[in-house]
Amino acid sequence: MNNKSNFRRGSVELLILHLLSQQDYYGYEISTLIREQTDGYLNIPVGSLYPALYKLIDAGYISDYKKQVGRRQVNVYYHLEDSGRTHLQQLLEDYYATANAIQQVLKYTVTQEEEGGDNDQG
Amino acid sequence: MTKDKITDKYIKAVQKQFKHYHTTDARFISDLKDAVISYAAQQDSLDYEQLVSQFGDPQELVNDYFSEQSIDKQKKNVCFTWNIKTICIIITVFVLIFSSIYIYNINVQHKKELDTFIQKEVTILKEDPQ
Repeated sequence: MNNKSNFRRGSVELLILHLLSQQDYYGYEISTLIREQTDGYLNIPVGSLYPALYKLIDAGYISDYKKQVGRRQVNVYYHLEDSGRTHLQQLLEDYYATANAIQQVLKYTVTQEEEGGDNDQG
Repeated sequence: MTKDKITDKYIKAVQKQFKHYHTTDARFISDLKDAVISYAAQQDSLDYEQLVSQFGDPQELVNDYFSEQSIDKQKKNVCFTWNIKTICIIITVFVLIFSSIYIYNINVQHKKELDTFIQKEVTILKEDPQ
């Protein structure tokens, strides 16, 4: 498992909850929406998507209901619960804090440290 | 091949990847089936390779599914399967033992009945003194 996969895996929950905060979606629709919104960069396979949805259901953050659409077609829609909205807010805060922290580290360069040392000696 | 047959073929290929089938796995298969049917309904034409391209190779799909499950959950599922198998084996052994005992008792009783079989009957006629 490479670092890219681990980073993306941690984002799945955040993305799912954010989409469901807009409206109810069914599973395949969530996967398609994420792929379309990111121009194919983020492609969450159904093998990863559904376990993430089940974890959110078990935690009580989302609920599901079925809708018969066609002769054989039944869509399972997912709905964000109030506890899910709270959890989403928490995830967003964590995400922005992490992104900010990463930005701070990425701004750091060795030359900055050396300049600081020379000034002290001088 | 019709769209229904192609989707069924894909779902069966995914189901074959599960060695130990549990309730949670059945829910995933059901949801996957709904997703595949939704996708198929949106296509003018459909072939098996399209489904593999869209949803992934069945083996990779199931590998992804299992990699998302926690180790504890996987252990629980394995233990649950092992417990069910053990209980079934124990019940089968008990049934075989009791069946054997029952058949043995019936056999013994039958032999006893054969030994007490009446071989001949003697009737004694006596003259009436009057």
